[in-house]
Amino acid sequence: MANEINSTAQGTHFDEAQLMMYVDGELSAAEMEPLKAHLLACADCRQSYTDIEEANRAYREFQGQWSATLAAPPHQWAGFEQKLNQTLAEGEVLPLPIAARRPWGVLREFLGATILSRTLPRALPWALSGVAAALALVFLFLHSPNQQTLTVAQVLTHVEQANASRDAAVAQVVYQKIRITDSAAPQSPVTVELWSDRQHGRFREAAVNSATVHGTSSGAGSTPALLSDLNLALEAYHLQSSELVSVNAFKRWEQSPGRKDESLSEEPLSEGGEAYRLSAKAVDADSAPATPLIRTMEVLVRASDWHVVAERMSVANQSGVHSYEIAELEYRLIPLEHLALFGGQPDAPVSDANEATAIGSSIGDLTVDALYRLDRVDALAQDQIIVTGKGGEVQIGGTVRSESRKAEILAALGSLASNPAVKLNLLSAADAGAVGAAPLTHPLQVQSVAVRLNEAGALPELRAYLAGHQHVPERDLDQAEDRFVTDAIGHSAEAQLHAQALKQIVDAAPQTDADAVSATTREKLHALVVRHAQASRQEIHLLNQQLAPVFSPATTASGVAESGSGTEADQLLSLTTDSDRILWQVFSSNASSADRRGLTDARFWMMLKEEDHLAAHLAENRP
Amino acid sequence: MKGNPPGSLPARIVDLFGELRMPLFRYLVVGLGSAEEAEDVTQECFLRLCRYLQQGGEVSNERLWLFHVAHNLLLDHKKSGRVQREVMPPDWEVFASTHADKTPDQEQLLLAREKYEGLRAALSELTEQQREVLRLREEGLGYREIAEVLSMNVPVVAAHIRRALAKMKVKLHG
Repeated sequence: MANEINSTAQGTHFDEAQLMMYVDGELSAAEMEPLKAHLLACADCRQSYTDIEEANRAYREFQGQWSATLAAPPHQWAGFEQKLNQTLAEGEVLPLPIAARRPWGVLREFLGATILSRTLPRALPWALSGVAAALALVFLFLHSPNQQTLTVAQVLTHVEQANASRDAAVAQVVYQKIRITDSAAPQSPVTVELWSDRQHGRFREAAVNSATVHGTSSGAGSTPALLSDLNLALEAYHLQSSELVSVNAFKRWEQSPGRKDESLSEEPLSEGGEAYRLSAKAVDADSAPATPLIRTMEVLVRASDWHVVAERMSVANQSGVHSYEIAELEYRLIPLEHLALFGGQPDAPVSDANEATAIGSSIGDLTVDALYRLDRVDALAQDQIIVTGKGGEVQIGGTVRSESRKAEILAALGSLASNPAVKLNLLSAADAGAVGAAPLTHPLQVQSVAVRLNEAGALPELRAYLAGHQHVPERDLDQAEDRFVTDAIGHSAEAQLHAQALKQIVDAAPQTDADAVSATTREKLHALVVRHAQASRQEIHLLNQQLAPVFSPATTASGVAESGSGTEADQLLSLTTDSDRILWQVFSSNASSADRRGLTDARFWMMLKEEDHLAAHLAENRP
Repeated sequence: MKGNPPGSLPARIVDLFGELRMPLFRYLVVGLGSAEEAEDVTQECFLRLCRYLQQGGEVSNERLWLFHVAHNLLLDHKKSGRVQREVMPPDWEVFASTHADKTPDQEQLLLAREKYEGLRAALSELTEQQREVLRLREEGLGYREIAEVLSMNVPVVAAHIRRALAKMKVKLHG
C-alpha cells in the first residue's frame, strides 16, 4: 500500500501526507525531487497521488463555484468609508504609548528561534502566541484602546471567563491532584488530592503520600507540618487549599492590605505551548511577621485554555521565608452523579479509616460520630453547627465564618461527609449573605472585642480596685480597665459557648434506646459531655475569680438562682446566657447606673454558683 | 476613498479592503451563517488593522493578519451566541444563490447539487475545524498560514487536510 513506508525496487514509498503536501506545494525542492522520481516509477504511489488530486480538484470546483455565485454582501460594503474615517480620527486623539508594543517584542524575541521567524518575522507574535494572545488582543481592541499591553487583570479576567464557561456545564466535581514542594525540603514533596463540589460547597482533600523521606522524617519534611504551615498562611487570607493553583488565591491575596507589585511575563511550558506567569510581590513587607504571611505569589496560566497549571508562593514567618512550589499533576471534571454522594469516589483514600463509621451504623451512632468529629475542630462551641439525627438521617448544618473554616469542618467530618445518611448544609458567612440566609446570629462573637468604656470612668469600684490592689498607675488605668473587662466578657462568653455545645450534644444524643448505639458511641458521647462541662465550669470559675475581689457583695450569696426548666444542659445554657447579659449591661458604655449595680447584686453571684454546680454535675455524670 | 495620498495609511487600508474583503467575507459568511453579520465583521477586521497600524503596530502579511483577526472574531461570535450557525456544505449553493447578483439558473443549480452529492456528504462528516482548514486553503493560504490563523501546529493542519481528503476520496469513489 502506498501509505506504508517500505523499500521497493522503485525506492521508498511516500505516505499520503507527503503526497498531499506535494499536491499542495508544501514541499521544498529538496523534498520534491525524490518524490517526483518515485512517482514515475511506482504505480501504487501514482494512484494515491491521482486520488488526492482528484479529491482536491473536486473540492476546489465545489468551493470555486460557490464563491463565484456568492455576490457582494447585502449592503454592498456601505458605510465602510465612514467607519474608516471615524477610526482614523479617533486614532489621532489617542496616541499609543510607546511601551504598548513591548509585549509583542518580548514574544517575538522568545519565538525568535523558531523556523517561522525566517518567513514571517513580524507576524510572528500572532503566529505562535496562540488563540490566547490573539483573543487577548481582540479583547484589548474592544475594551481598552488606551492600554494595549496585556495586563495581569486581563489575564485574570480570561481565566475567570474560562472557568465560568466550564462551570456552567453539568454539575460536576473538580478533581485535582497537586504536588506541593517546600523549598526547605525539596526531597519530600507532598501530593494532595482535592475534590471540590463547588455547587454544593463541599470540599474534600486527602494527602496521598509524602514521598520517600530520606533519613528521618522530622520537622519541615513531614506531610502534616508542611500542610499545616501552608494552611496557616492561607487561612490569614481566608483561602483554602482547594483554591491553590487557581486565580482566586492570587486575586484574593493581591487584594489583601498592603501594596503589591504585579507583573506579567510569557514563558514556554515544558509540556509544549506557552503560558503567562502572573507575579505579585508584597512591597515593603515585614520579613519576619508574627503570623505567617504570603510575600510573593505567582501563577502560571496556560495560554491555550487559560488554565492555571502551577503556583509558587513564598511565605514569611518568624523563622524566615519558605517557598512552596505547587504543581497541578492532574485535573479532571467528574460529573456529580458519578460520585456516590460526593467522596464515594472508589479510589478516594479514606484517611481516617479506623475511625470511619460504617455505612450501616445507626443514626444514633452517626449523630454522635458527627458531634465527636465536629468537636475535634471545636465546631460545636465556636461555630453554629447544628447536628440533628432524626427521620433516618443526620443533618449537619449551620453558618461558619469563612470558607477556610468550612473546609476545616468538612475535613474533620472526613468520610462521614460522604455517608449517604448524612445531609450537609454548611454555609460560609459569604454564602449566607449571598442566598439571603440569616447572618451570624450568634450573640457570642466577642473573644477579642475591646469594650469601650465611657468617659465618666464607668466603674469606679473597678478603677479603685485596679489602682489600690493591683497598683496600676493612673496613666495606665484606662488600659487596665479595658483589659479587665475584655477578659471577663471573654470568660463569660466561653462559658456560654461550652454550655451551648453541651446542650447540642445532649439534645442530639439518642435519648432512650440505649441498645441502638454501640459502646464506642456511648464512650464518645460521655467524653464530649465531660469535656464541655469541664470547660464551661473552668470559665465560670475564672470569671468568678476575676470578679469576686471587685464586685462581690458583702453578704454571702445564698439561695438558689432560677435556672428554668429542661435538662441540666438547658439550665446551664440559660443561666450562662443570663449572667452574660448582666455582664454586658454593666460593662457597656451606655449603661445606666441601675444596670451597673448588676454585678454587686447577689442574684448574679447566685447564678455563677448554680452554673458551677450544674457544670460540675454534668461533668461527673454519664448522660 | 479618494484623495488619500498614495502610501498613506488610509490609502493602504482602502487598497487592502478592495483586494481582500471578498476572501474574508467568504470565509466569515460560512462560519457565521449570516451575510449581514459577515459583512459587518469583515469591515471590522479592516478597521482593526487600521487601528493597529495607526498605533504603531507592524504587519508584514496583512492577509494573514486579517484572516487571523477574522477567525478570532468568529470565535467571539460563537462564544457570545450571536452566530447563527455554520452553513453546511449541502446548503452552500442555496445560501449562495440567495445572495447572488443574478437569479441563478435553476437547472445549473440542480446539476451542481447532483455532481457534488458525494463530496457534500463527505464534507458534512468532517469537523467544523477541518472544513475551516479546507476553506482557508481554498483562499490560497498555505499550511503555515492556516496554522497561524487558526493558532494550531502545521502538522495538525496537515492532518486535518489529509483526513478531509481521505473522506472525500472514499465518497468520490463510491
